[in-house]
Amino acid sequence: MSAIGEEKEETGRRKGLIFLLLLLILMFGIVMGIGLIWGQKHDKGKGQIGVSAGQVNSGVELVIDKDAKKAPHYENNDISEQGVVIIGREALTISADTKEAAVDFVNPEENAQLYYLTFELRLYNDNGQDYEVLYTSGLVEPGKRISSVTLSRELEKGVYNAVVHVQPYRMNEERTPTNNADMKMKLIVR
Amino acid sequence: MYWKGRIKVKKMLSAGLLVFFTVSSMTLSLAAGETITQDSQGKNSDITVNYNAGVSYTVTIPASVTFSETEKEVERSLLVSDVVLNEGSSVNINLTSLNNFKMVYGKGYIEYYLKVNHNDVLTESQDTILTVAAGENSGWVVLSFITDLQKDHVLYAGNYTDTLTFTVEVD
Repeated sequence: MSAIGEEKEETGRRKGLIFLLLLLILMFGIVMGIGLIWGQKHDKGKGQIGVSAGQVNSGVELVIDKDAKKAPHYENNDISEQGVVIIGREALTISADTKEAAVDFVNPEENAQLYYLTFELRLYNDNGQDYEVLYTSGLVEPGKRISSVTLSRELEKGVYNAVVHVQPYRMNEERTPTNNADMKMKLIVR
Repeated sequence: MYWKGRIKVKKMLSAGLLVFFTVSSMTLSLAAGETITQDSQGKNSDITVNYNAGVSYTVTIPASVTFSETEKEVERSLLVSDVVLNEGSSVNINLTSLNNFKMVYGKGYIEYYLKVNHNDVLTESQDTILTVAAGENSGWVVLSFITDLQKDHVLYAGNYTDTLTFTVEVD
């Protein structure tokens, strides 16, 4: 082969190489672009955990709903007429064959300067009328909770009908009792 | 010379394709927000995000009501808020009057009655007065305490009282 022929062949190879490299770069760019767009679309559907509903624009026109009523909890600023706030649960789970029990009897902050709460854990018979008191607390201040108690006796494994009787007292010198609440729940003993 | 050149081109092309496929597979995985670990190389990588919301709710009960000659009708609210329930269940509240809707002092008494949301007169204890179903964040009723302060059965001066117990249950 002549020198001119070899030079032409070398030039051809270089051109081919450059073409292949450009093709690779182009394909790489296309794949990157598709990947990023796809990822962004999926991110819109994900990652909304902890985002309040108000931050999600569903496309609905945002107008004030005339059917919405004023929440009575905030209706009255007169402190003497403010209700007693009590937290409810569906069940309480404790351990079998021990008097020590983990509970969560809370007097919420909302009762600050207004009400003490006492908690009485009652175990009801099948007739739903008679009960046995398993535990009675003292006055619990607002913002405080009781998380472990000693029951009057040990219980066997099973599911029992129980009530947490919540008695509020005004935070005055007389500690006047107010209306109260019976919070029905399942007592699960494991 | 010609064959050497072709082999070089093939090697470069193979290396280029290898780099291309490796990088492009990484790009797609990262764009999908997956975590790549050593174990997950070459496999699908799944993650689970979890939060187990237990049943809970808050009840606000009226603490007390005081009647006077000028105030024979008093309104209070009964509120259930921050409701998180199992699907299909509800929070139900009924009330019981200790003295069957009588304010008592010794053997004397003064009668009163209750209206729920300005409509139904509550005559018996244990009537359900408020239900909040799963999926609703809150619910409330207005309780109207009404008396005519009839003193037919008032025997002595004193503080005539009754106590209401609100029984709350998740069904």
